[in-house]
Amino acid sequence: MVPTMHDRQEPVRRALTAILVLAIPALARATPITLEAPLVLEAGQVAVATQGSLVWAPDGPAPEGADEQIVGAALAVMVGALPRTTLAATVPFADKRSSIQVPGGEREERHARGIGDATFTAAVAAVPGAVVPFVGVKAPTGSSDQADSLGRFPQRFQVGTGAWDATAGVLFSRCSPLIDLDAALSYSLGGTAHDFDAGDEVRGELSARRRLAGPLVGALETRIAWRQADGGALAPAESGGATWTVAPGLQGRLGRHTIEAAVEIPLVQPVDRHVSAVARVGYRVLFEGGA
Amino acid sequence: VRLALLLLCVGCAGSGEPMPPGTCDEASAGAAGDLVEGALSIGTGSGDDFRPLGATIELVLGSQGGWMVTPTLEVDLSAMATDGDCVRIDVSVDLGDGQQLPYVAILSELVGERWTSEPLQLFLSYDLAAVEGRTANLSASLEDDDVVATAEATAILTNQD
Repeated sequence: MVPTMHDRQEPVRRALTAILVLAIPALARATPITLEAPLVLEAGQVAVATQGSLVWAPDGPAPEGADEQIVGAALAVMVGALPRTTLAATVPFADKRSSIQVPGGEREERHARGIGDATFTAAVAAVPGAVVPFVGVKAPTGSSDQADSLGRFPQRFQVGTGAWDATAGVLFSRCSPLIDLDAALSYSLGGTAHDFDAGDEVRGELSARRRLAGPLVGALETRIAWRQADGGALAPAESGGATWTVAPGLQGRLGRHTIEAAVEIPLVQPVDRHVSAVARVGYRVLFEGGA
Repeated sequence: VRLALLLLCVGCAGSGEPMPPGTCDEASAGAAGDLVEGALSIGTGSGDDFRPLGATIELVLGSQGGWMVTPTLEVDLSAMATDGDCVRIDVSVDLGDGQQLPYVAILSELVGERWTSEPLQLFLSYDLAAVEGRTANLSASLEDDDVVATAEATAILTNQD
């Protein structure tokens, strides 16, 4: 949901973007779990959301052969600031651990941790409940130049990017008694920092949800994306390409409280990625704010 | 600082595939044989695009931050006059401190008169500053039946955009 930027910040981005999906007006229906497009609040409403994520990425490509795990958390605040307009800010945290092979064949551990890049988003309900254009910008608030005894971390392993990124897109929604559908198209423009020019990315996402029993909703979501190869002197020799993920999930609502969980499974991913699965758990609460 | 480099993976062009364990035991002995001059070259590119290594060799960044060089080998099989089965290849890189970490690959079958390898991933460092601008001495040897071919090359490590 939150328009963040490119796959070098993938785990953090997914964590924070997923929180921003708040289906309000909205809370009357189930909402997407992993889509990166935000929905809008009604004027005066405020929502606070948090999401945790665990990225499991073993058996990376040679020569490093990285076994990587990322624990992420993100906090988002969304405000229905104007009629049909929602403003959102998201701050992520990431703890990245990687076991890598070093020249000589031994393995060593690398560890990056800290606050990531904050994302600011605006979404407008052009056609309330049906069409929502959105834009976002990611500010380089996170540490992006960490190093250890082996040297500087590769850019994708940093918790921040050091670059300004921008995203624009549109979300289409359709509700029916049987199933709720949301589809989003978006484009992210990657910025440049530290001799690393992040590739742009275009995404298409679809979320289908159906009530299972009581407040419990089942979701099946998918994302197809294509990312341009990274550029610059510190870009890997091979990067970019197509990604296709599917994510089954569950969502439950109790009054103004919503909890949700999903597992993203990549079916196709670029040569420089080796994610096996991403697990997400989220919680959000809506405040009417006297509106 | 001197780094001897490890060839982590020998990709194989044509039918020169790494052997299943135990298939080519005789090739792993590393016994010295008759030297064949000029049958092995270190360079870049494969097939008709192979070129002997020049004054520089480009550093390549892996997706997880490892800096490596990716030379290729060309073998003149007609000069070797062997069957091309169960071929042993040793490759190493020395950046000046004498440490040697040779990597050995056993290839099942090399075919054609001139065989070139896929780029070899010679892993150097995670620290660009530790390798950029240094002089790398690359050495390779190939053993098949009772003959041996060797090659050496020297190049400066560069990082180009």
